[in-house]
Amino acid sequence: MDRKQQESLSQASESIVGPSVKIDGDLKSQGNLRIDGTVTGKVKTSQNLYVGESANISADVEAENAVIGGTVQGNIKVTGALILGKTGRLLGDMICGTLQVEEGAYFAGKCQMKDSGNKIEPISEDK
Amino acid sequence: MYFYILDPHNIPQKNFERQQTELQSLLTEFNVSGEMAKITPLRIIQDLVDTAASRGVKTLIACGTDETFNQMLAAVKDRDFTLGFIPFAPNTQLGRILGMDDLATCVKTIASRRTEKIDLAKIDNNYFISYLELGIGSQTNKPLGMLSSIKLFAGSALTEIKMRIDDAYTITSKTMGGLLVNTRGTKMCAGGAIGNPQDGFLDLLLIEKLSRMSAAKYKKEIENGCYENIPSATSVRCTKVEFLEPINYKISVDGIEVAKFPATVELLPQGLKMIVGKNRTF
Repeated sequence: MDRKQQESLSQASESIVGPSVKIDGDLKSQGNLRIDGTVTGKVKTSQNLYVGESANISADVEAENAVIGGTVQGNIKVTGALILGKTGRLLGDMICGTLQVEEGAYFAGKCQMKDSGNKIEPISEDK
Repeated sequence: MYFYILDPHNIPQKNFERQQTELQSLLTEFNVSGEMAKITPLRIIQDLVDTAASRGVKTLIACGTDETFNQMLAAVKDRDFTLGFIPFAPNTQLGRILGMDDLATCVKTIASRRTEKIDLAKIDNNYFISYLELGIGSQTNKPLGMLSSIKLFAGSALTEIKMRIDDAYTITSKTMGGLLVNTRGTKMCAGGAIGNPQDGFLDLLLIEKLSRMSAAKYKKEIENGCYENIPSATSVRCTKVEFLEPINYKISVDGIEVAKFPATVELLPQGLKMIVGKNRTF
């Protein structure tokens, strides 16, 4: 996901949590979700998640694709692409399809990625 | 058969009589049958709706202002009617939403009987198809001058509002106000995902503190209720909202108070069959 795609993802959000908003509970969305405020509980969307710089999330997060620009304390499960931006802070484990970590990002946890299925074949002695 | 409920309330008498005569001649011209009944102090809207129901009428048309339609909606309760609206006043909110502008267009639409099922929202014992207004949200679709709008939009006090959404999570926000939208009736942000009365969702829009620069820049968005286009605004899709705090905070529809906090809003998806015009905003 390039910069343009990241920007369009953040702008195309159907649900937006503004900077002054505090959410407590299970936030579920069927569309793109942008969070700039504070969330405690769980965050789940079947589409894209954009976590803005001012966001502070203390929750387990599930999404199809995610861009993390703020602070997330919790585990993240993303089926597609996960981008940890330069202002992003992730304190928790992540499971993702593909991963991109920008310089300046902070990550403390375990990372597990989907196996692409490309088998590594041992080098044959005949060669 | 069609049953027309005529409401002279809030319409100058001369204007009302002229519109009534014009409506009668247009209905004759377009061969639309039906019965007309006028609201009087002794025959309130509830009586007229009950009369229509007892006669087996299937289609009710409110002729008057937005308030006439909202009162008719409340009087219908859970009965199965197809509803229509003919505005007798200029620039009505429902007229814009439903694409029912002038009398001729309305009668043509009624004659062709173009109907759509739309979501119906319920707040306590009142129903609405448009939007609820909180705080500065009551300025929606009420154009102001540049200076007075900047003064109002940048100077409005913040209120900490607490709401429970879909029985799943609680939102707390310091806000100047907001809208709970079923549909908006503004051309500016028509056609988007937000404010579609046929999607089975309400859209909660909240606006945060704005600087004078932002208030000037986003004046049109605020006036048209397109808060989702303003940076830092909140937009949440939901089907149920419980307004919790502050107690006694005013909730209005088109500037008229309909409830106070605490109150519960629920959506009845596809709960209403409406006659709609070609120029409707959804």
